[in-house]
Amino acid sequence: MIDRSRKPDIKEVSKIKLLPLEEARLSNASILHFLPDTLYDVFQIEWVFPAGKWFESKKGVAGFTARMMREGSKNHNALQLATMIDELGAEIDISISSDYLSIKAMGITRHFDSILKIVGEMLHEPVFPEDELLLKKKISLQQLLINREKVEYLASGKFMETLYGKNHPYGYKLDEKDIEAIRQEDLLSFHRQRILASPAWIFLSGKAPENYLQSLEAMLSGINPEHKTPVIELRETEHLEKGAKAFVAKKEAQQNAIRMGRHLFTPSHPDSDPVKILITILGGYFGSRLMSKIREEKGYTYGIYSSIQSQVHGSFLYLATEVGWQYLEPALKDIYHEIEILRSEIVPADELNLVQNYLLGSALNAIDGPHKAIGLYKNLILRGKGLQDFEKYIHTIQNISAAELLTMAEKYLDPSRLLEVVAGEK
Amino acid sequence: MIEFARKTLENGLTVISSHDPSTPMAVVNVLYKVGARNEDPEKTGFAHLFEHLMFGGSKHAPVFDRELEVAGASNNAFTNNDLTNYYDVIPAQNIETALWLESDRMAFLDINERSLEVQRSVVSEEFKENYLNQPYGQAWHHLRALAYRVHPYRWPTIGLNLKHIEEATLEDVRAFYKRFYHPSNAILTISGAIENEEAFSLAQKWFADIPDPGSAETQIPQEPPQKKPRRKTVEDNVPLDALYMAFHIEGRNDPSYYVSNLLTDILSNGSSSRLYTHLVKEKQIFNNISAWVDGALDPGLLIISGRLNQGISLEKGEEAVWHEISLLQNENIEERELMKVKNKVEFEITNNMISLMHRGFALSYYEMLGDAAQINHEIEKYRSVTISGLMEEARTRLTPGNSSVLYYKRKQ
Repeated sequence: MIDRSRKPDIKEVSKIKLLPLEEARLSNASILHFLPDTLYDVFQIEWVFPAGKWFESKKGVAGFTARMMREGSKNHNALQLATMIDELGAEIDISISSDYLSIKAMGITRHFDSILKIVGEMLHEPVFPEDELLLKKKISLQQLLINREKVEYLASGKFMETLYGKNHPYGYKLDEKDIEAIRQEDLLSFHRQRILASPAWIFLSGKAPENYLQSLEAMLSGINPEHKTPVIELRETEHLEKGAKAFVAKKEAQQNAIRMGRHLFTPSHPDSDPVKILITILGGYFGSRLMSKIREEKGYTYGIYSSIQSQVHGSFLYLATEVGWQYLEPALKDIYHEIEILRSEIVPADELNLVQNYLLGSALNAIDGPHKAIGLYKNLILRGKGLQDFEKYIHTIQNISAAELLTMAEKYLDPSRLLEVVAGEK
Repeated sequence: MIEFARKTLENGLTVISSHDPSTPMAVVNVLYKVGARNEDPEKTGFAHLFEHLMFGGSKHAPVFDRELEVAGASNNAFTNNDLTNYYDVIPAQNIETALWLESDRMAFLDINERSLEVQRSVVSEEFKENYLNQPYGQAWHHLRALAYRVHPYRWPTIGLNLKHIEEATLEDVRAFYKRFYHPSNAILTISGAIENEEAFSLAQKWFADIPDPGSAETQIPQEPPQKKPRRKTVEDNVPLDALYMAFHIEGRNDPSYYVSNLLTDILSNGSSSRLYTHLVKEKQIFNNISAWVDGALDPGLLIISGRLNQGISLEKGEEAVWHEISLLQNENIEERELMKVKNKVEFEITNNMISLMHRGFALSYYEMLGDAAQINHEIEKYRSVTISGLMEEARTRLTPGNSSVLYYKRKQ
């Protein structure tokens, strides 16, 4: 019989080896970052443009541009484009975030050139047909009705709106009027200014054919980026300096959605790594304080998480959960209590050691496989960071002290500075 | 090609190892051959509730998650109608910690009133979050109950209702553990930066002394063939009317599974698929619509579901779907269209295999189906599907007599 009371020794993750990245500059100043892998005959490639909500001159334009880029090009209508992609067994996703527009293609290596050609049409020659736009607007309007039935949508919408302001690109929520107001010219001009005239960050991973650089160059032939990207006037973030509370009523809700948080800092702020560790302790993994207390001890919820949401113009703390409506008050009390403990007591050594090991293991897992690893590189590169910053993060994990975490908690988790939003039934 | 080796321990535990030197990680995947289909109709949602209790600690490791987290691992689990699957993603040098923990909870799970009480509450909240408090959240309860009369597939994994979960007793839970959680009812897969020989010797070390009480087989009542159309209308607080149609198909191990799966791909995989092109774009009847097969072990379901645009009646939506079905049955599917869905499947299967976690589960899963080596033959099975096979499948399965139609209507 094996002696089960003797647990296996733990060996700490001491070395995290990042795979080397190949880089190349294309003729339109786009920079390609390539993480090769030869095990499987598939690849993934993503073009990222500075064309997210931040750069809109009208609400919803970035999102509709992204949704409409695949709905017709100079030479092919929407159905033809869709058929061409599907016949190659490929997948193309076009999406936006607060700061970026991204077009990501995945497929089998032998179709690399053909897939790039289709992406090229969507990127450089979209025509945004009126009838397709009408349909997309109609679908969006009805999706809005469904979203408004969800407490999580109502709470997160209200949270962003309160944190940034109703008219801020990070804060607004599209309503019927905004959707109706989108015009074809808006999309054409946004595309011309933000996509056509702009170099992209390109992230390639997996197995690419030998001639991949020529294929990427070939996409650019005939493109004439004569339009200069206009300088965007930086908006002042409507900083919510004080704490606030907001409630959105949703009749007959069986659960209430809670969202809490506050503005933090720009991604290069020196406190950014230590605070990330602090937020992990609070609610960033299964064994976190909030999960242990509110799910595993009290059973108020299926899940509760806290994280740092990073954007180019400022990051924020975000805490989210859905709890049975009868548990709202006790759950809120417990959340504030856990925050208070982090601000008044140092994190015990064994817990800190656990979180350090957990984060190092997560970092190792985050770079396992080319598609996952390129995601990590992407996040660094888009924030103007390099590998040394990743190494610094690893170093911070290995060396952070409980005292430093306490200072961070005092500085960033002041409850009077938190925004608290609840959606549901009171 | 996924390389692997396989061994069965004396106590009946199947062990699979798939060495991958390209990663610093390892995945320990333990699949138990128990799901909602093994449940008592009076105690549904049990397999899933039990999955939660498996994280409540065991005799030698009172706090399961903490031991893994300190080893740099993350872990999770899921339950469906046929199986419950647990996995640990761990830096390879610490793989023994995962094996210690998995073996300890297979043999010495600590089932106590406190843990049961909390998890009953957590699962009730999960029930609310994903079903009761979501628009259309209860559609699956209605649709399953309509399509199945006797087979346990008539309830979803979360369970028939909150009451069954709230009433689970310690005695029920202990009996369930004894019956289903033992070596011969499990498949352990170790994949990643561990040599096969080492994987087998570690599996032997941690699992070999767990006794096995023998077979866990349940008599599962099989569903008699459906003869007549079934229909139901539900009114609820939803913004748009929604249509759900379910058709009985063969189980996951039947060759026709591949045919029905490609049939649903023709209907709704990708923006050039038929339902999207014809019914969302051209006729603008649906706001969205999709079709899929559930992949169940026993004869399962092919499902078509969509939300109607405002101002369009459910009857009109249903008629449009039947029209699409008749096209599949009577007009030739084009060679290009078939090639298209085959290419898509090939990409999806190949791309999934990149993930170590997915490989770990897939090997266990195909072993449960009968042979882990099937992992390397899926693409060719899809490749062998023919146009006449697809049309035949559409003619036999997609008939009114084999259909269950649910109207999920907006309360006026």
